Amino acid sequence: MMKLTRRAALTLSAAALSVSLTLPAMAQTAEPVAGGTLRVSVNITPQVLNPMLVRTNPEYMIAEMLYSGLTTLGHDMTAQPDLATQWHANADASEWTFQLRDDAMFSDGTTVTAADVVASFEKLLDPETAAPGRRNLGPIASVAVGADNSVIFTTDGPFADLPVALTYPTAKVLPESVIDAGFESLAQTPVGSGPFRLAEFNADQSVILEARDDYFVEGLPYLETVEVLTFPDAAGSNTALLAGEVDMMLDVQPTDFERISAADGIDGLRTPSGRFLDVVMDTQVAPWSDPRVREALSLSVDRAAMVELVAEGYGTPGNDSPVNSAYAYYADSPVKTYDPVKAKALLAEAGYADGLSLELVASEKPGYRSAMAVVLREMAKPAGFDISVKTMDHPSYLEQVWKKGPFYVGFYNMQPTEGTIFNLLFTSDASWNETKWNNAAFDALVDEADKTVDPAKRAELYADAQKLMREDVPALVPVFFDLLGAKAAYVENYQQHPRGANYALHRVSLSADAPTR
Amino acid sequence: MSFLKTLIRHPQGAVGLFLTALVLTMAAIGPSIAPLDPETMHFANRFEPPSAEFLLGTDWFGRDLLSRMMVGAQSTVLLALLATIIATTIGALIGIISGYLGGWLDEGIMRIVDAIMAIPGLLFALLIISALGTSALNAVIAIGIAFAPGMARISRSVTLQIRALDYVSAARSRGENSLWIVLAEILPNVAAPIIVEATIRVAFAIMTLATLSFLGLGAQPPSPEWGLMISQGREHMFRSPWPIIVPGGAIALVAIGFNLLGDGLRDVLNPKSEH
Repeated sequence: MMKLTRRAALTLSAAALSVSLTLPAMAQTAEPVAGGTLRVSVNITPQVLNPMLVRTNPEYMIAEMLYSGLTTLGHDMTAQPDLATQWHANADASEWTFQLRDDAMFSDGTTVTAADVVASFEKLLDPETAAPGRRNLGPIASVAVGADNSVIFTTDGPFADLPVALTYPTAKVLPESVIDAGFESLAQTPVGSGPFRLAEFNADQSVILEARDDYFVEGLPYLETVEVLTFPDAAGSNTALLAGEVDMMLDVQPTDFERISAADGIDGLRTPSGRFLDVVMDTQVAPWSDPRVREALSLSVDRAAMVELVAEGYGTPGNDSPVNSAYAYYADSPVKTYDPVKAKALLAEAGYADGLSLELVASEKPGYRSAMAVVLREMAKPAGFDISVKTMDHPSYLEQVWKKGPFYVGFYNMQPTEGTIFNLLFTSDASWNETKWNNAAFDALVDEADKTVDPAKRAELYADAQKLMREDVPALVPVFFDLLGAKAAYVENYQQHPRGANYALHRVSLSADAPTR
Repeated sequence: MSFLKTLIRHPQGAVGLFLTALVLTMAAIGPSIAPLDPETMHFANRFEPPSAEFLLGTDWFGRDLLSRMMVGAQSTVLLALLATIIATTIGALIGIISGYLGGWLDEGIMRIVDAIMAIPGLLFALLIISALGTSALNAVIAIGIAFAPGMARISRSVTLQIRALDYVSAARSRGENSLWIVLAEILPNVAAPIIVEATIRVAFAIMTLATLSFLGLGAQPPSPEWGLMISQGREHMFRSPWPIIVPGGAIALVAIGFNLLGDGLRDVLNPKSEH
C-alpha cells in the first residue's frame, strides 16, 4: 500500500505537506472540536521517560507527545517536517542540510536552536548513551550548526534514507543545557518541545499529559488532557473500553478483535504492517551454530496454519526475513513449505538423529508470543525437536533473556526502511544483534544498499539480502501481524500508523457528542 | 472395614469417598486411557462444542479437552497431594514437638508460627516462589511451606490435650525417653484429627496450585494443568466457553470431593459423635 512514492522525493526539498498527508479524510468535513480528555489503554506499563532510552510502544507514544524530532514519519513511510521545515542534500546525498523552524520552544521556556539539535544527535550517537537504535540513524559522520538556523549532517558516503532514518522514535531533540548538566534528570523531569507536557507519572498505573498552549503548530493539540492507563490484562482492557472507561486501546489481541469491533459505538482499527514475531536463535552456540539445524527448524513450521492459530487470521505468513510486502523493496518468494521429513533428515545429518531438546522462552506480553511457542513446539515434534516452553513476565524477560538467551520469541515493530530493520537486528553491528549471525556477505549487501541512490540497484541488493536470510535463517520469522486497535466512535482523527510506533495524538480530537466528564 | 462402612453411612462421606476415588483413579490411569493425545492440535476442529469425536469439545488449538483434563488430573491432583504431605509432615512435627515440650520453647515456636500465619497463604507462597523461581515443583514446595503453620497449630492443640492424660504421665513416670513418648504415645492419638485436617487441606492445595498456575507461576504451557488451562482459555472465553468450563468444573469437583471426605472422616473419627 505504501510502495509508490517512498523514495521519489529523494534529494528534493520536502515541503510542508504533512498536514494533508497525516490527517485522515474525514477531518475535511469540519474543524475538529478542541478540548476534552482522551483515555488510552496500553498493555505494557511505561517505565522509561528519557526519550533517548525508550524501548516499548507506550514509551514511544509518551516520548512523541513530550518531545519533537527533526522529522516525523508519514503514513506512506516518507519523512515529514517536525522541527525541520525543509531539507535538501548535495548531489551524492552525503551532506544534508535541515532548516529548523524558529518558533519551537522547550517546555522550560527556551527556544529550540541548532546547537540543541547538534548536542542531541551527538548524545544519541555516543555509544556511552546506549540509545536503542543508535545504529538506525544512518552512517552519520558529523553534525554541525549551519547558517540561518540550519543543521548540517555529513554521512560516511551517500545515504539516501537519512531524513527517514531520523524519524526513529528515540531521535528526539533535547536542550543542550540539560544534556550537559542533567541528562539523568530526564528520567523524572522531561524537557521537550512536543505538543504535551507531563502532569503526572504514577508508576504501573497512569501517565497524565496536558496540552501545551505554546506548541509550534498553531491550534494543536486539540485535546486538553491525555491519560495513558496501564491494563496489564487484556480482558480488563477490553471491558474498560466496552464500559466507556477508556476511549481507545492501542493494541487489541487478535482473539478479541472480532468481538470488540462488533460492539456498539466502537470502531475496530486494522492496518497491514511489517510487525512480526520471530524465533531468535543464538547462531554462535550449539546447536544453532549449525545452519542445518536452523534450516530444519524453518522446515518444521506450517506457516499458513501459524497465521490462523497465532494471529487468528489477522496477518500474513513470513519467510524468515523481516521484510514483507509492507516495505518498498520486498522481494517476493514462495512461502516455505512444511516438510518435517526433510527437517528430520537435516537434523540427523547435523548429528541429532535422536532428536534435540530445547527450552524456548516466551514473554507473556503480548499473549501471542507464548501461543506461537506452543504451536511451534507441536509443529516441530515430528522432525525430532523436543521444545519445552518457558513463559516469563515481561520485565524479567527484558532483563534476563532479551539479547542474551539462546532461543526465545522476539516481537518487533515494522521499521520505516529495509535498512533500518536490518541494521536494528541482523547486521554484525546491529543495535540489537541478538542472533549474533555476523554474516559478512549480508553486512556488505546492506551497507552497499544503504549507500546506493538508484532504486533499481537498491532493489537488487535488498533482494539478495532477503534471499540470504531466507537461506541461512538467522531467525525464524513465521508470522507478520496486522496492527489491531480499537477506539470509541467519538474519537476522531486517529489513524493507525503501519510502523506501529507513531501515534500523532496531538492531531486527535473528540467529537461534539463525546461524553463529558 | 467397619470404618469404611461407617464412613459410607454418612451421606457426606459417601459422596466424598466416591469423588475422591474417581479423581485418584483418574490421576493414576488417566494418561493411559485418555482417548487422544492431549497436545495434538486438530487445526480443522478449533472451538468445537462437545461432540461424538470430542466428548468435551476442543480448545483454541483444536486440542481434545477431555484428554487434556484426564492427563492434567495427574499433575494437578498428585502435586496437590504432595504439597499437602509436605505441609502435614512439617506442621505436625513442629506442632507435636512444641506441644509436648511446652514451656518457653513452646511459646517461642508458636509465636513464630503465629507471625508466619499472619501472612495470607497465597501471598506467602508467592514470596517463596519468587525466591525459588518458577516451576511446578517449586509451587508445590511453596504451598507445602505456606500451609505448614496451620497444621502446626492444630497438631499442637491436640497434643496439649493428650499430654495431660494419664497414660502419658504413666509413660513418663516409667522413665521412657521423650522421643518414645512422642512416637508411641502421642502420635497415634493425634493422627485422626491431623488426617481430617489434611484431607480438607488437599482441596485448598488444589485451588492454590491452580491459582499459582493461573498467575503463570506454576506449570508452564502447554501442560494440561487445570489452573493453567483456565488461565489460557480466558483469552478465548467469548468464542467458546468449554476450555474454561471443563477444567473449572474439574477443580470444583475435586475440591468438593476432598472437602466432603474430610467432613465425613471427622464425623467418623470423632468418638464424641458416635452415638
